Amino acid sequence: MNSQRKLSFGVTFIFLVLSVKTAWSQEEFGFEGNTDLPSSDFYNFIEIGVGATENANGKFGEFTQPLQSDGLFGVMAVQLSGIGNDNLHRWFLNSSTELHPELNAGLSEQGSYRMNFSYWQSVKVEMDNTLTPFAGPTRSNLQLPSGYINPDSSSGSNSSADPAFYGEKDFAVKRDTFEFGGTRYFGDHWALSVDLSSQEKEGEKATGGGQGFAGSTLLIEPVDYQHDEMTVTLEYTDKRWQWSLAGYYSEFDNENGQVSFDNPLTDEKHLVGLQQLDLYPDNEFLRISFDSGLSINDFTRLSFFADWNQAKQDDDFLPYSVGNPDYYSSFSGSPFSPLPATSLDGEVERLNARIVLSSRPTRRFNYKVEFSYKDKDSKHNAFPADYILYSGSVSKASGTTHVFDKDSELISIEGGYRFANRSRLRLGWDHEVMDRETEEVTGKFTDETEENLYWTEYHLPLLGRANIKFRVEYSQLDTDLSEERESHLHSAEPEATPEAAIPTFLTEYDRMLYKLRVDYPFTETLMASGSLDIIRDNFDNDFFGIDERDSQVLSLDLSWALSLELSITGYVIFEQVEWEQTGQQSEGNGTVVGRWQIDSDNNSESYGVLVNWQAIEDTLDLEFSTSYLDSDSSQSGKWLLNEFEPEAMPNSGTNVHRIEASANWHLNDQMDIRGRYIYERYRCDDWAWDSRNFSTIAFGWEEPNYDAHVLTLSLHYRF
Amino acid sequence: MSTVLMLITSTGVVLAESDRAGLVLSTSYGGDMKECLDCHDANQAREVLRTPHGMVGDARTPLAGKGCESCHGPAGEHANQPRKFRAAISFNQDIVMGAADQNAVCLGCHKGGQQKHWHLSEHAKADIACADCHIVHTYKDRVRSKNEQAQVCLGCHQDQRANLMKYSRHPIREGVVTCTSCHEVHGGKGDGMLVEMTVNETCYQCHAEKRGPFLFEHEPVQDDCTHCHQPHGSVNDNLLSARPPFLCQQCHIASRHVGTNYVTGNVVGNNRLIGKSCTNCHGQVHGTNHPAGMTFRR
Repeated sequence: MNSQRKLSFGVTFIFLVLSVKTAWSQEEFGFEGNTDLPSSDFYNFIEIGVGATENANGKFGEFTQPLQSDGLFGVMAVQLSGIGNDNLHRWFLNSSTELHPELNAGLSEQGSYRMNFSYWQSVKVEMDNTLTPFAGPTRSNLQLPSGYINPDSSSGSNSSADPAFYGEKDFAVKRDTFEFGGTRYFGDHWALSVDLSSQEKEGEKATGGGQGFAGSTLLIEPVDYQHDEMTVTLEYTDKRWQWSLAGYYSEFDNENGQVSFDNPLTDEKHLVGLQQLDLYPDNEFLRISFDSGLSINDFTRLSFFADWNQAKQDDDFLPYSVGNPDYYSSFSGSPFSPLPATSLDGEVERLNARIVLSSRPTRRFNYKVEFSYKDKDSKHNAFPADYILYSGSVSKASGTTHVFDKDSELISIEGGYRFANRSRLRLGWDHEVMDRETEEVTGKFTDETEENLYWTEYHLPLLGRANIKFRVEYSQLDTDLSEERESHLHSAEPEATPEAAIPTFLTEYDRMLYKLRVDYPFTETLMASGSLDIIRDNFDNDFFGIDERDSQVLSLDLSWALSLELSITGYVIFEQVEWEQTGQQSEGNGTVVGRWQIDSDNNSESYGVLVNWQAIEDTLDLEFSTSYLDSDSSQSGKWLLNEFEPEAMPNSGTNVHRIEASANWHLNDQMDIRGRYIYERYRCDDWAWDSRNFSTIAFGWEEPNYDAHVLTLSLHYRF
Repeated sequence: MSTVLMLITSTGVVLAESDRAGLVLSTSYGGDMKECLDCHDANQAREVLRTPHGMVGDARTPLAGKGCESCHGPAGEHANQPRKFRAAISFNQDIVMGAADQNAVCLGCHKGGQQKHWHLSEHAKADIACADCHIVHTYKDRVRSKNEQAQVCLGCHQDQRANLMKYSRHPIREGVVTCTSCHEVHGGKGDGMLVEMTVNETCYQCHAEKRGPFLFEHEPVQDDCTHCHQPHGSVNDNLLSARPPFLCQQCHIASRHVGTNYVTGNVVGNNRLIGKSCTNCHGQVHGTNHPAGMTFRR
């Protein structure tokens, strides 16, 4: 019995005992005995049963934990609640293992206090049945199996990787979350809340080993995080003015500061046992925030938000795992400049503020004026840092770290008018300027952007039977790049060697967005609705990088209540995102091979039907649903200068088909028998993982195609 | 006038003429709510007694005040001639009373907490009524249930339905993450009705390891997670908005391997394409503290 099942059965047992106690004590809590109110129905229940799975290991959604084992498993859900005789106290306790283990409990006295506790667990299976030479218990020092033969050294090529050295490993991360919160109310106006949260994340992830070129490999990254949070909020509420003052503190701890490894793809002496991958450092975060709403009069309101926060990180740097002068002296003898500090001692402060005036001065007209300011200010400086290769040589001397700061100011104005026919027109304008400052050892430079957004929305609630809403947006981003930034960018000229394309967030563009939503009731029982979203991004790009991006999403829904007993709903969604980008391929010596253009598509089609049928009145409810998703991404490219024919990568995509059917048989007022069946068919076709690439990245993972089934049967008892 | 107008005007919202035309105002019934439940005896109506609204021990709750009329307005005529008159206020989607006026009833009490900025929310501007999402009479409101909330939201946000089934997604179907984990649907502090002022602060709630600051930082990562990720779901791994290496090449076009036209390359034997593509080597793209981590390889 695995731990999941132990937990399931254990929790089931505990709540069986509790439910007996609770049923007995109902009168004590007084709900049944409250003669001032009508008698109530049953609100507590316990559900217990059994389920069976076939081929469900890690299926039905990578996060759905109880179904990650083949065979039998327990089904448990319980809900207990009560109300005190005084009609002030309420409590509840519920737990379930249906989707993931969870437990929630709460106690409150109306208008006086409330307390809540929650726990839940989720597991994400990133990759199962993976082959890696590092299979085995998690370690921060990954060593190769005894006798491991490097494919490169054994034959001089990468073709002789021996799968015998590869063991099986599931990459999964489990997250346990605990939350506890309480609020104390003081009179009608004041409340003080304290909320605590703790997340523990454990498991393993696959991550890049960073050896570069032929030495690139995928590793096991141990995950052992703890993230604790505390929020204290003081809140004031009266008829005109409401505000809250909150302090938030977060502390993140990573048990593993690094992982070191032997490289399975190269046995160059200077690499063995020394290469280290830095894992996320611990960090702390503190925020003080204030937000307020003030009703100036019956139709005007002033809202204000402000927060100041500080993020800190002072983990020690790892020792140089390459470029160590003692170790590498025999290899490179290169000049080597260690960092002038042992830790970043990093500190970033942010200040965010937003003030909004909104008003509805007449019955038909309303407006809003807003100003917001955001500032990120790093308190630490850039360090000199050389770009050091694994060979120990310095590739780029006199390098620097970068510190990125920014501030932005936004002005937003909008107005709305409601016409006599109840249609409504809204108009708005947003103007945002942003300065992005980059600090290097040699100095600072600032890139500026300015964005204007104009939008209008028209809502026509009664055009015949139709309810129509239409929105159009036009936005434009202009940039004023610094000389330093431009000196790194490469204009789209064929002769020169490009150093960098322009970052997408600094690329000038204009965007058109159209959104249409229509709801149409054919009859009182037949309703159709549809939406169409279209976005056209045209990047005015003088540099290599992204040029165009278009997306369109069409969604259609149909709901039909054929009778009081039978209803059907269905949907269809088509989504297409396509973009075009350009670049230039060059040799290391600057010789231009050619300019290229790559067109990419992300497409998906999905369909679904849900049928609810009360097959036998007050006795048998049936539900059936099916959903289907077909999605893929594709790329095609061409050389622009040499007029080559376009070439395409193989498509990759996923295809998911899911069927669910459930039946609920009401035995009597208190008892139901419930059955549920789920089938899921999953097909994945991804050229990136098509073959187990032991000789290229020393890692093997096959796409997790499956046909999985689960059947559950349970007894639901209300009391 | 009656409780209705008092509630409405007290929150600064005034009935539009067009709304008022269809409203049947009546005199207060003022009777025991048990009388209401004689007719409205469906479970949904009775369940209100199990909710905070029904805690009559607190004089401020609706049922302790004017009973059902606290929210539904005067119902004198309705009580006497139920088929001819209805209660002044009903909380349904298709009645003549507009969303703003319905909401004024709720906001009359729910002024603080998450609701204090309701009027700034896109939902308010889109004439969404509280009752469009909440069923206040039920003991277990679907929109407040982690496992069922998404179904309520998807009723309007239809296009998000496909995202929940894509290759890469948040565990919304499983109730681990809910729409309200990231969105403050009653009116948020920042853009996109997020629960935090910025996108990144919202993401760090669960992904605190990526907060930093780091010795070597990646500019777009620090700027906005959505430069590379699509949080609602993606056909690409790790919620990426495009597939690497092409995603990375939208910003990185240097000589040699960075600017290579990989579409024409050899897929199987190319460690810049297979597996995790660029991050086979540059695995620390979110930032690293390694002293030799300039290119996020360590």
